[in-house]
Order: sequence, then C-alpha cells, then structure tokens
Amino acid sequence: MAVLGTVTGSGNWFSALAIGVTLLKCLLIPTYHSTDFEVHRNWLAITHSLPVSQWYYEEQKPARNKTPWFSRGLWGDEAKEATSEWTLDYPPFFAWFEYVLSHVAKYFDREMLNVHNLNYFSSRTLFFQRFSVIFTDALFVYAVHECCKCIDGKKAGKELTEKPKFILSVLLLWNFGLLIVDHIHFQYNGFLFGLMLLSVARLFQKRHMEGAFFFAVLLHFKHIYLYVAPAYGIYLLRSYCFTASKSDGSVRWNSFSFVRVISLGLIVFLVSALSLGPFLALNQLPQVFSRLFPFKRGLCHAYWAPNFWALYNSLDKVLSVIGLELKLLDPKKIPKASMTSGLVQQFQHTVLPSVTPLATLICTLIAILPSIFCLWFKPQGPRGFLRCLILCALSSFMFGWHVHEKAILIAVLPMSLLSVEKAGDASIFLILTTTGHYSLFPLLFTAPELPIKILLMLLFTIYSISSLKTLFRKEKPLFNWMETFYLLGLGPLEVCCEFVFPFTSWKLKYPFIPLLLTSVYCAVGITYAWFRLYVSVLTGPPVSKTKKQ
Amino acid sequence: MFGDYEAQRHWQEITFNLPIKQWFGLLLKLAFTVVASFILCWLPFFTEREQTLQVLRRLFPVDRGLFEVSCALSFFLFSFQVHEKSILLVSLPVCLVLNEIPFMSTWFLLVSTFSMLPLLLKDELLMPSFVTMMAFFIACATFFPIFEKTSEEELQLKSFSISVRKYLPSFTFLPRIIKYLFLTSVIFMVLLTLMTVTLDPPQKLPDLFSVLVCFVSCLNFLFFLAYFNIIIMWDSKSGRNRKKIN
Repeated sequence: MAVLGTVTGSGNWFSALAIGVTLLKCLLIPTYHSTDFEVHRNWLAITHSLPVSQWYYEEQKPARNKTPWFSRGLWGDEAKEATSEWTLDYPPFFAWFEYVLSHVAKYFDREMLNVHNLNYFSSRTLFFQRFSVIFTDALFVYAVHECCKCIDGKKAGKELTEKPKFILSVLLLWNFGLLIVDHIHFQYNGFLFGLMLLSVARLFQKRHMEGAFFFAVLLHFKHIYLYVAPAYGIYLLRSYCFTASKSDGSVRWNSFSFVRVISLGLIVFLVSALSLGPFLALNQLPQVFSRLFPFKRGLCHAYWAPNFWALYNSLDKVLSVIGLELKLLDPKKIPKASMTSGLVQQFQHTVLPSVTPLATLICTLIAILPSIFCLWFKPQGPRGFLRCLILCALSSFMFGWHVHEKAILIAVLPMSLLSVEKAGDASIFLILTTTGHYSLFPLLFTAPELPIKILLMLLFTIYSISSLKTLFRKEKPLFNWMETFYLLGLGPLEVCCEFVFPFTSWKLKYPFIPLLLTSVYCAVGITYAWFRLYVSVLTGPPVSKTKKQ
Repeated sequence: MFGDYEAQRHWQEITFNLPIKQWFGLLLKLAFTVVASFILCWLPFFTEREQTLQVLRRLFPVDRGLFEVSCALSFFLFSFQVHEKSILLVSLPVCLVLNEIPFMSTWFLLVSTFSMLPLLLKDELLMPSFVTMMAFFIACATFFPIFEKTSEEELQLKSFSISVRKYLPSFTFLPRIIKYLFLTSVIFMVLLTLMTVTLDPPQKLPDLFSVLVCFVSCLNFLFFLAYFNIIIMWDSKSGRNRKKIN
C-alpha cells in the first residue's frame, strides 16, 4: 500500500501520465485495425515457421482483396503489384524482433503462426498483437523520460502544468498521431520513435557513442529513418570528430580526432554486420535491398501525402482542366486515367513534366543541403542538430518518392522538444502538428472511429495550443490572423468531407474529392511550416557561445 | 430518486435544527418547488386522463412487486426486486461527497462497479470496465491522494471514535482496521474477477460466481451503510452540521 501510495503520490506525475495513456491504449484494443495487422501477423508466421534463408523470399498471393478502394498495405504497397502485399520489407532487425515476438505469440494462439492462414483473426491474436505494441511502447516512455531531462527548465512556472517538462511529456506521450497510427491503425512506431528520441537525448547529454549506436540500430529496424541520417552524419563529424572549433565557429582542422571517427565507424559497421551479415553470407543482399526499396511504386499513394507533389499534382490537374476548357489541349492525347480519377498509382502528368524517382531524389538533396551546410558551418550544438534533423525529415517528406503521410510523425515528434523552449518554434510546431495530425484522418475511415479520432484530435490540439500559449504568454502571440484562420479552417473542412460530402451527388462521380481536399489543404500548412522553419534556421544567431565539444 | 434522499435529509435537517414555527415556511417553499417541477414534467401527459393513468402504471408496476427505483443504499439493499444497475443511483451522491471523504468514496465506487460484474461480462465489457476502474483508482490516488487521508479526522469518524473510547479506551486502531478491510475487499474483488473469467462454475452450481459476487458486494454495502449512518448520526450530534447550513 505504501509503495502504491508513493508511486501514485503527488510527486510522480510522469508515471501517472504514462499509466494513463497506457490505459487509454487498452481501451483502443477493439477498434478498427488496417491491413497492417494482417501484415504483421504474416511476418510473425514467416519468421516463426520458415528458416532465415526464406524470410525475404516468401511470397503469398492474397486470397481476396479485403482492403478499401484507396488503401494501401504496409508502406504504401499496392495490391496491384506483381509481388504479394505482405512480403517482409523491413530490415533484418525488425524480422528478428518479429521472431522473438512469435515465440511469445505461440502461447496466445498457435494458429496465427501458420503461414497459410491468410487473414487469420481471433480475439487472442488481437489481444496479443495489441498488447505487443503497448508493451514495446515502454521504450518510448523511457525515451521521453530521458528527453525531459534535456529540456531547459529555466522557464518553469510555479504550477506543475506550466513546467516545460510536463508539457513536453504530454505532447510526446499523448501524441495523437502516434496513438492512432500505432494503436488503431496498427503499427510498431512507438518503440522505433523511442529509439530515435533516445539517440537524440544521448546526443544532448554528450554521450555521442551511445547516440550513434542507437541510431544505427534504429536504421536496421526501419530504413525510413535514412531520411534523417545526413543530420546525424554531419553533426557527429563536425561536432564530435572535430573536438574543437575556432572562436568564430568555423572548423579547426587540426583538432580532428581519428580515434573518434574510427570508433563511430566501428559502431556502425558492427551493427550493420550483425544485421546484414547473415544475408550477406546467404548471398541474398540484392533481394533484401529490392524488398527494402521498391521503386516500382508510383510518385504518390492512392491518398496523396500532403507534400510538395500533392500540390504539384493538383496544379497539373487544374491546368489540364483549364487547358481543356480553353481548347489548348487535345482531349485525345491525355491519358484516360488521369482524367477520371486522378488517384492512380503511376501518375502521368499532363501539363507539367512527369516526375521520376531520380528527380525526387535530386529535389530532396537540394532541399536538405542548406540545413546541412548550416549544421557544418554554424554549429549550434545539439539544438542545431535537432533543427537539422527535423528539416531533413520534413524536406524528405516534402520531396520524397512515394511518401506515406505517416512519415510526418518523424518531423512532429522531435519538434516537440524544440517547441517548449522557444516561442517561434512553438508556433511552427503547432501549425505542423495540427495540420499533420489532421492529414492522418483518412487512415481511419470507419464510422465507429469517427468520434474517437475527432475527440482525441480536439483534446490534443486544444491542450497543445493552450499549454504552449500559457507557457509563452509573455511573448508576442503565437499565431497571426492568417495562421489562425487557416487552422480554424480545418474544422469546416472536416465537416464538409465527412458529414456533408457523403450526402451529395458528387460522391459517386468523384469519390476522391475529400481526400484531394484534405491532402492539398494540409500540404499548404506543412509547406508553410517547413518554409518558416528553414527561415528560422538560416537566419538564426551565428554561433552559439558554448564551444565545448 | 436522488431528490427523495436529499429531501429526506433536508427535512431531517430542518426538523432537527429549526423551531417548529419555521418548519412550514421552508416546507412550503420546498413543496412549491417540487410541485412546480412535477407539473412542468407532467404537463404533456395531463391532456388526457388515460395518458396520466398509463404513465402511472408504467412508473409503478405494482403487478410485479414494488417499483425498481431505489433512493439510497437502504432502498437498494432492502427493496423488492432491485436491479444491480440501481447501485448507480447510490453512486451518484457518493460522487458528490468524493471531495470530503475521498478514501471511502473511492472504495465505494470501486465496489459498486465490481458488483455489476456479471452484467458487464454479459456485455463483453470486462476490459473497458477494468481499464476505467484502474484509471479512476489511479486518478483518485494521485489527485486526492486517498492513501494519505485515512486518519480518523479525515474519515469523519472522529466523534464516533471519541464516543467509543469512553467505553473502550484503547480504541485507536480504527484507521488501521479500515485500511485492512479495504485491502481485503480489493483482494476478494480481484480474486473473484479472475475466477469468474478463467474458471467454469461446477455443474451443480452454474450461478456460483454471480452469487459470490453478489454476496461479497452485499457485505461491502452493508459495511458502507453502517459507515454512512454512523457519520450522519455522530456528526449531527457534534454540531459541525450547523456551521455548514449557515
């Protein structure tokens, strides 16, 4: 009783927050889950039943397509592809993770581990999978705890709810996007973000080797974090391998430490060897890479992620419609698919030039170069690194090939750390988060989840805005009238898309319009946030006075 | 109905504290309020005599015994054909005193949810009810915090303990007894829940677990009945109530 009293006593708000959100996750167990649920069940089966040499060669044709008309499999894999939907397309560490899970799964329901049991479902399977996500979130909770230690608490008000640490904990632990993607839609992002935040926290705490180690491990769990690898590489090189810099912030070349470079390289090499070694020995590396990086897919999903290409596509469509009206274009020359739906996989642009994967790569590299240069030439310590990381994530989101809208979380979660320290960052964070979270709405399209997603989103949005406003009440207001107007516009947009549109006559003829509107509207907000963050990085103070590396 | 309980308590207050001359003044005001609200509710049904009779028949189905509504824990415990959901009518006033006696109120609310276990299992609500009970318990333990408010003073049993100590000078262990009772009660509730969920009842006694749940809950409720009555009786003697009214 005494132990319980101390744990739940007035001092331990962090545990209360963590336990509270865990209980909420338990309540979300019976909600809708996407095909990712079946994907992970399949991976449990593959890793349990088949030898390692067959993990990346497993192919099963789906029995029937039960997915909704615009949906996608894991990572945007379309059912129309030649290979099946549910192949293992994560790096080897994740496969080993599923292998370990499968050995716990056999005590819940052995049937789920049968590879041929496609679309197998039972209540025990559901419990096991959901609880595995909830359980692995413990790493995320630990990482948030570590991040709170890195936050500057100087602005602390007297009240608990005004402390930056408290606000940061709520923004991270109760993050709406993470909750609905992980615990409703079903994915394992919790512990992966835990690894990322932990590596960031270690870099803040000047424990660079551990930070590098955690990030290397993370890369081999899910390779989407390659988006932010340049930030890590340049930061570690500049601020760790060069042990000192000159007074104006430029590099002191003779302070290069070979020991550090080699130890970092060794860490990365060892982790990669552990991960890819077995497949190198089996001569399966090309197959593994082809599964990890399937470029056969189109520029955009069936639902466009709200990035630059969404705006590009819609501009193309608008121009083509105008061109047809003004008889500048020949209707016979336009590909039929783009005329009727606009939501096909292989997107051929009609007016603007078509986009290839190489073009997106070049755009992404160009987009992240200025932030990388800033990180090299104007090192600001760990906070500069964090900004660069967020910019890399956002730029890759903006210009990447076949980006999934869930990828916005890679930018949103680290940004929470910056938002509780400066008012300017708080403003950008709120726009990015609110817009990013709203863009996740089409992931949950079922009726019972409608009140859940709206109310949870309102809860998070209202809390984040009010708490950050209170924290920065002594500075100028967080939003100008344009931004306020834009954010308020999300409400009518939601009403239109979910409540008004299904009852209009356009539903049958143009069923994609709500998705299109959501995508384009959010793309505007995210582009704006990206732009503002870039401006704040490029025009920030020259060099921080702390030169201790 | 909650109104009856409050009315009753209020009337006890009035008749105990005020001189007889003032009873009827307040009583008239009260009566007027009650009658006025009743008239407002019933207005639509007064259009036809048959309508009014029909409503009355629905409200008081004396054909199947007494009516199902309970007004307080006494009504709940001793009425005829009470549905287990009616415990919620008792839980509501308990919620209102949550701030004054957090420990006992939390305990009561946990028991009241537990007492509905057979019903919740039938509706497949075991997980949500467990999660919400845990959340409620943790919230109370964090915000009040209940485990620090178990002294005699805070349980509002001070005057009772003082009276008992006149006969039994060593009666200082009341808070400890209550804490142990709480622990026992929680253990029983957890055990019974686990048993109901995992085991099958024996063939000859198919309702064994439901009956056990009822029995344990009833014991708890009798204890609470005694407790709340003790508070009312001893606190009204101490005169603290007089300050609250004014």
